[in-house]
Amino acid sequence: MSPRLIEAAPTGPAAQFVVHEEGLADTFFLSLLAPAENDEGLRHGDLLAVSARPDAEPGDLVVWWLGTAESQALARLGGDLRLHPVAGFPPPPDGDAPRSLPPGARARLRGVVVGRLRSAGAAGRRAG
Amino acid sequence: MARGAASARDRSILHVDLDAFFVAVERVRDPSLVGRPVVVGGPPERRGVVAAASYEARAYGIRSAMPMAQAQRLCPDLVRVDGSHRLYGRASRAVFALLGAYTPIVEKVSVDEAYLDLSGTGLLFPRAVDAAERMRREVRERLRLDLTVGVARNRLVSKVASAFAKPQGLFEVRPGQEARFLAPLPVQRLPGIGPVTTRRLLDFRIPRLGVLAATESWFLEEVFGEHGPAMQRRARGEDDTPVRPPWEPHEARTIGHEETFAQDTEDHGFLRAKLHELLAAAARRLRAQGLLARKISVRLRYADFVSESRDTTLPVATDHDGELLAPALELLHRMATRRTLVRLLGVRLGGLSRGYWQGSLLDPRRARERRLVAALDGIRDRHGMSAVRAGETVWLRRPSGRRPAPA
Repeated sequence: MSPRLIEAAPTGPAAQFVVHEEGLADTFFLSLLAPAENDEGLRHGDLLAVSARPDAEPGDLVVWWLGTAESQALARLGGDLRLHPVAGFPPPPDGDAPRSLPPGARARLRGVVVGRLRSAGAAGRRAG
Repeated sequence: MARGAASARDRSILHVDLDAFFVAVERVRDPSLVGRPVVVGGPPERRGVVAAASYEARAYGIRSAMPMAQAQRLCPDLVRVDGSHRLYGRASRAVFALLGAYTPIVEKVSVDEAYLDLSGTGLLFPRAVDAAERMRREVRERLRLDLTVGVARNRLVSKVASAFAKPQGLFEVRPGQEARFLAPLPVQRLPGIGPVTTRRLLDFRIPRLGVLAATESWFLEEVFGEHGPAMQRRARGEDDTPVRPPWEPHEARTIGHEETFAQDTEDHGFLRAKLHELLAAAARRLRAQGLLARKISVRLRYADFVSESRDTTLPVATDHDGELLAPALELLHRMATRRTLVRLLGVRLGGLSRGYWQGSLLDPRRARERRLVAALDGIRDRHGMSAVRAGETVWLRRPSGRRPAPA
């Protein structure tokens, strides 16, 4: 199974992160579905807090997508300002995009991963 | 790596917080309490207040410091437990002994809360978050208590992070992402920003930490003085406060005492005597720690739960009861304007600095007073606070709780 990111709504105090006010940073959460712990130390069930600010810097762990929830993936922004695949996610398409992608599809930055929330039951779980 | 050698970029700080600690310990002692709305605190007939509430009780709106009678009205099925601070102390020591195996740099800030500095433990724990995960598991398996952990590069952000992981969770803020992590949060979520500052920030349309971080620092300095730029640095997630290990003396930022009365009162003589008693206890703690105070704050809570406080700054720092009492009584006098019964009285000493009161070298009376205070402290150390009392406060311990009638 390939890792996936799905939209998630935190409950409890963490819900305060999710704000939708004009001109303010918006933070959203994505739940990681992964077969095993990966090179980033991320585990199945981790809730990733993602800041939607577009000012990623080299070294940041970022979420990129092609505009659809299914296409979301993690990557690291390199010093060359290119997205390098991490945590078992596929590389973003470039000029040699895979045939399965729509013609001209381009990876767009969706946000920067600022943290992760791991709840009691999530530790060590694996995707089935 | 020696402590302090880790640069701000390499630090790994954990803020650990035991979930609903008193209740959790009671549930270990009596598993039948699991899943029920439980509070720890004194009985309503003795005007007890809620010291801790289970998450089930909090769902009814019950909070710490709420009068027990009110809590029981909110939840008729509420289970009240008197509580045993001796037992909680033992449980706390067991938890912190376990955490001490991960790093010697553990700063306990209360019976159920601490900061740990894992900087330089990379060989043992390549990722601080994995160490945190293991801690939570060990505390759960060995002691049947739940731990919430915030992991970050500094104390401030780790504290905010743990607040968002409650209960039973773990929140790691990625290094370098502190400002982005804090940006969407309401300003009052930042430790140190209280209701008054929050109101002023909102007046200036600064509702969230990201806005505060981006505000011109000259403007913040204009409005908040030197605290403005400092507050802004914290809003950006900058904090280099060290975690103090147990072998470094921890200095209190304030020292205070307060008391909720068995019966609400409007007796000013009683309040003055009680203030004298509370202040004597606080001043004794000052002297025991070799500290001097420059600020005094007196707080009243009325029967209608409205609170009021006043503070004053002394010209010279002191630890002497007599020099603290007069300005404290003046504050009390200035506050006594409402015609409402008083429920609680408190006094707090702040602006603390290290040192000992010397008085005037040219005034032999002051030197005698100093020797007298030292002698009284010695007696109280051996026999307790009530062994020696100021004349004005003696009648507080009369069975009637009433002042003797004038002769």
